[in-house]
Amino acid sequence: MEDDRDRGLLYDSDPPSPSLSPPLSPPRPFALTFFDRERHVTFLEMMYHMLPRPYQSQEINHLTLAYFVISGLDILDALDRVHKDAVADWVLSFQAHPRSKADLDNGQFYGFHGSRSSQFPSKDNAIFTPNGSHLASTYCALAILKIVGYNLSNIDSESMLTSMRNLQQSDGSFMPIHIGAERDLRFLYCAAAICFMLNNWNGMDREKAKEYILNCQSYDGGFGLSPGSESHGGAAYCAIASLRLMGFIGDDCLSNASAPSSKANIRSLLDWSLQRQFADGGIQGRPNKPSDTCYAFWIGATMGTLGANKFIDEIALRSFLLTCQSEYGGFAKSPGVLPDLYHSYYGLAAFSILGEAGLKPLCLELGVTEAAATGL
Amino acid sequence: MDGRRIVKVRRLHHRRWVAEKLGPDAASRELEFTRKIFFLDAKNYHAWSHRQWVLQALGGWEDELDYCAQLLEEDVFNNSAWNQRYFVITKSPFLGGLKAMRDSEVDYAIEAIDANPENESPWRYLWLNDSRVHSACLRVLKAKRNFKFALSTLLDLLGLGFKPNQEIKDAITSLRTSDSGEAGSDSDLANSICSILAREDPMRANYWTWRSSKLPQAAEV
Repeated sequence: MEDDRDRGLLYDSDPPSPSLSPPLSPPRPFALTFFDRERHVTFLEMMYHMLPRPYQSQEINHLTLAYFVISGLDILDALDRVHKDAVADWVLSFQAHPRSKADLDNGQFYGFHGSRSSQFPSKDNAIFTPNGSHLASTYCALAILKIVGYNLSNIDSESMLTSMRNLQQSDGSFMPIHIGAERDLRFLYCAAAICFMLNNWNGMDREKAKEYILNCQSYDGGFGLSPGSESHGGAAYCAIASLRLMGFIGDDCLSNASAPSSKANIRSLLDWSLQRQFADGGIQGRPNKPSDTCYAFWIGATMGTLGANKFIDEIALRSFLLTCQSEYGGFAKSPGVLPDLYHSYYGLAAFSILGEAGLKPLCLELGVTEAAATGL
Repeated sequence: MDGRRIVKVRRLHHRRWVAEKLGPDAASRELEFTRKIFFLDAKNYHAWSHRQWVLQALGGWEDELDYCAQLLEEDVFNNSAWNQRYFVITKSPFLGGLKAMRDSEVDYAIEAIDANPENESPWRYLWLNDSRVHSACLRVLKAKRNFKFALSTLLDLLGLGFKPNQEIKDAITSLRTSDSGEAGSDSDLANSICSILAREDPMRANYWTWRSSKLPQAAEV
């Protein structure tokens, strides 16, 4: 059984590519010269109505998949396909609630589970964890609620934020769940986004978080997921988006890029990030690796947040992304491969950044549309 | 190997939990475990994170630099191995840190650059303020192939106050297509580099043009 609940946020290697119906032969070469909105709406709508069998083993990641579907439909300006109230109710049903105020001192995090199997684990489990709240699921839950227009002030955010502090480590990083796991920039990003959406920074120590982020900047100018780790496009996004959400970088970042007082070395990050655009027009996550659709978002959004997306060759990138567009709708990681929900979502998000007509603009640092972010 | 994930991240967490309980004895077993993964996928991100955690928490540094060298012999383009090299140099208790290792590492990186100047990894690995770096850039420029990193490195060096010698200036000039005479001051030189890069690296033409606009107005004396 696939068991990586963190996978929804950041893939390192290929996720399983599902077939929507089992293909009898390898996919025919397919190349549209235009972005086919209708095809993508159909793809996501089908995902919305049923999870294809290959994804069902990812039940543990249900909320993350739902985020891809709903945010994707929102970007496509097709949110009318979604029963917003029903979605809100469904998301809220994953929330973990403390039984009493005393519970908030027990070290657990009271956020959202990612799935029913985490919420109601089998009795055969050696370690009974009734509260499997996870930062990534919580981020996805709140993002979905914002997208469907649910008023977040109805949420018990006090418990959530108070208990979220239990997840922050002494070096400023965050664990995703209270029972111990790795800690890295992805979960710090989730925490920052959660505080931002709830408009309440009691959930984390921002200064310590900033320190951790800066410690993740590598010798080559990029950011790794943890100090010492290899620079990675997804980590760059988590770093810069978090700094932006926490209020540490503003719109004038680029003009100050060479200033020695820059909190992060933006100049070298810029140089590293721009070099990620490969000869085929696509964007790679690390040097000497192949292009991958999702980095068009991770790197594209990082550049956009810094005001530097004019430095990306958008025509070349668009051409590459079109070769990853699937005849089934959605996007694949690379040309000639079957689409998956993760790459489909980030492919759509990338097209929004590229200003594709008919797509809604993004709030880059939050990972939802601007409309969803501002609640309009 | 097909595209399926071969590293289950939750299993790595569990391994970490177990290893922490077992202590330093677990180090070699954990290092061997990640080595097996790298045999199939030498750039697996989660496995590299795990390996770094093992070294820092449990030890086992003794052979790590050699292991990096071995991986780079197999694939000098393996950026994960370059990153691990930097990690070992700076953190291993047996090597004396950056200062002690700098000389040999500069040599190592330059050897890789001479062999494959189009390889981004060793260029990023370099410590800039070293005359061997200037010579390496010059060699690459003179070969007139795969010189974009050599040029961008020189551009960065100029920004740090580096004064290029006539040979380097001439090498840059010979790469220009416009016939507007020799590059004079350093800011002319930097501008030349930017316009050559805009031509040679057209995907990033806007960036090189912007870099040009960000150069100091007057050259330093």
